[in-house]
Amino acid sequence: MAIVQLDKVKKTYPLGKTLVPAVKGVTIAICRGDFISIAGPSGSGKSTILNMIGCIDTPTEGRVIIDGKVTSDLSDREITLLRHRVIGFIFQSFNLIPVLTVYENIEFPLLLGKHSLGKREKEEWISFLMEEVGLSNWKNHRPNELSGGQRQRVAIARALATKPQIVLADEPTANLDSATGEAIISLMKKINRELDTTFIFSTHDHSIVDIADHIIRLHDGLVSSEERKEDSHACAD
Amino acid sequence: MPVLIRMALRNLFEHKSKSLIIGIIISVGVLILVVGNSLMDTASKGIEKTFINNFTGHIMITGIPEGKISLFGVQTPGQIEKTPVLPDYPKIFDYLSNHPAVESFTSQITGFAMIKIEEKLEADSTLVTMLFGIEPVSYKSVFDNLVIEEGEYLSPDQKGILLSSNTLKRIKEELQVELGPGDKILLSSMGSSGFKIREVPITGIVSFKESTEASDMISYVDAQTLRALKGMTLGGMDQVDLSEEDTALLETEDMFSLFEDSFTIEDTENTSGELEEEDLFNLLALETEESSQPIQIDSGAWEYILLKLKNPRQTKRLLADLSLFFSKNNIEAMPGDWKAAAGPFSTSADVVRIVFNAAVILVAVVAVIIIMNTLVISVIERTGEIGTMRALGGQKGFIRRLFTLEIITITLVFGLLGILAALLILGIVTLIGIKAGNPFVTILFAGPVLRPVINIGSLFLIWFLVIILGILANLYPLRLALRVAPIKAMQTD
Repeated sequence: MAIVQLDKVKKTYPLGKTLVPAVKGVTIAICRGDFISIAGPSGSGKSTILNMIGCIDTPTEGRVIIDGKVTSDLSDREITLLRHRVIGFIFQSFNLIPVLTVYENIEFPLLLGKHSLGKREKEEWISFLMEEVGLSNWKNHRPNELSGGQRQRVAIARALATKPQIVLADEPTANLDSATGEAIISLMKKINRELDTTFIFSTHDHSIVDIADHIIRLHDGLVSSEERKEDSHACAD
Repeated sequence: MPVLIRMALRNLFEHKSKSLIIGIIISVGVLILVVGNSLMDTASKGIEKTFINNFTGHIMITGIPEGKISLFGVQTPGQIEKTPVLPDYPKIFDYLSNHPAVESFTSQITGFAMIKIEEKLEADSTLVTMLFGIEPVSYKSVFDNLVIEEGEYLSPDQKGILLSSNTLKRIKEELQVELGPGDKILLSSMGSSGFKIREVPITGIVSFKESTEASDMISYVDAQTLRALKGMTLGGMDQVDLSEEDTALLETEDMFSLFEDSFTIEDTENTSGELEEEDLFNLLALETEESSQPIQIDSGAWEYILLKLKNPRQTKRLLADLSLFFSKNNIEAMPGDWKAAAGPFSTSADVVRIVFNAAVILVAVVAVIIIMNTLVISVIERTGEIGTMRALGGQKGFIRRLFTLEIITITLVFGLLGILAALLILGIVTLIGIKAGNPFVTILFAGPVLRPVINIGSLFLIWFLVIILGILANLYPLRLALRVAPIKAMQTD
């Protein structure tokens, strides 16, 4: 069963007195453990689709179903809870909390709700994540003391803190040089393999699109092509 | 330390300029409030102490008046009401004499009189003095407030007046006459039974240990003289048997003819036989055997009883005791505290406090608006951060707690700094020892040197109020913060 389903989704934004269509009717299904890239030129609707999957935006028409729940049927509280339990975010501009250290930033999502982790387990889990992203030696540093690549690594670790089923990354390499960008995508893929977390990232960089197992290409708010590699996950019934 | 407190504290450091703007406003506001309230409390305490020690005692007992009564008379809008005579005086006297909480008490009559000098009757002056008719021994035991500048204090049953040095000065200015102990003055008053005039000797010239607005107007006179001036007389109760001659005299149709001989004063330079104004005053004022006791004075008539307590903290209890005693015994009297007794003079500190508080409220409103604007700017700047927290699964409650905690932290810290700065200033003022320049300032300072009163309770109250104001100022910015959608996280650069 698909963990993410978009069913004839449309999204229009008002621009002055006119309505601008950003997504014109997209139907896609994403399976658990997928490492999927949503690719397309600027203005093709990548970010809009990602925002709707992340439950931070709602469709004008159609349905978005996350983990079996139709997002438009949920209240603000329920949708926040869904985001917290099911989805992790990696932002283009990193969006780390400036007043918190690396450790505290990774810990932060765990403090926003109830978790089964005990204090010791939590510390071990955060240490493991810091090791995974290679920032064990930067535990007590603030974001402004880190490079762009390091910040995005913190953001990846933070996105994984609540052990979400889906991690969304909106142009995660846009503010990084190409080598660092590739390293970040490789790290995401490594974690995808190790933790079986579904990764959905948007990009317009051709060099990193191909790292994905499942590629959805958009053009003018519509799916122009969909490509699955052999080792991509198939949705179980 | 919980993450919320950690974040709140670090955010305050992170946004130093805004924290400082809000903090300085809070600190200065608290400083003004603490120093202002301390000075108000000092003045209030000074006025209270002065009135209790010198004029009112802790409790005043009066009859039931038509209007609002104070030691200075009954005040009703637009007219002067008669001060009621205390009923059942002996009963009240006995009750107070046996009450364990009462330290001492005295009785008093209050009135007003115009001062004239026999030699200057034609002088155009309006020299009015307030008269306290007292029983000298008990009065001195309750209020030892007078300094005898010249002459001596009133003796029991002695007829006389103690003029304040200020009144003496006014007499000199207006009537161009130097008076002193032994000289006589004329007191005239319009009482309920008509125009009265009495001649009294000046017993002494007094000044006040603690001068007030009221004290400069007061002269002390023996109670009998004031009773006579106010017409506090007993009605004739005895049956009078008239002789036939007396009855015929009363039935005379031409009453004026009876006095023709009296109006012809042979030993004066006025030989015309006609009555002049000065002669009329002489007839009315000068003591003669016939005129000295024309009517019977009610020697038990008092208007006020003023009492001091052994323990001032028992004031409320004794007020209740007295009210109960009066109601049980059907005595039409009532007790009042020093504020009621001081009447309009007690309100001066309250008026200043009201004006001060009004100014503080105005400043508080302006401060809240400035703080609110600063917080709104802060929310706008932190839109991305708020959006990120919401996107990561932060409920609105989390955002509310974070922002509320931040404003509480800032008000707690800077409120405390304001209090400490105020205490430092008050400490310096105490150390310097600002001296009172005149008697009135002495009262406001509650002593010859300003020693500001610091009320720990009001410090905490001010601190608490500032936190509440901070929370109020944060309501609108918080509303804006709660409206920030998670999608704003995607729109940060």
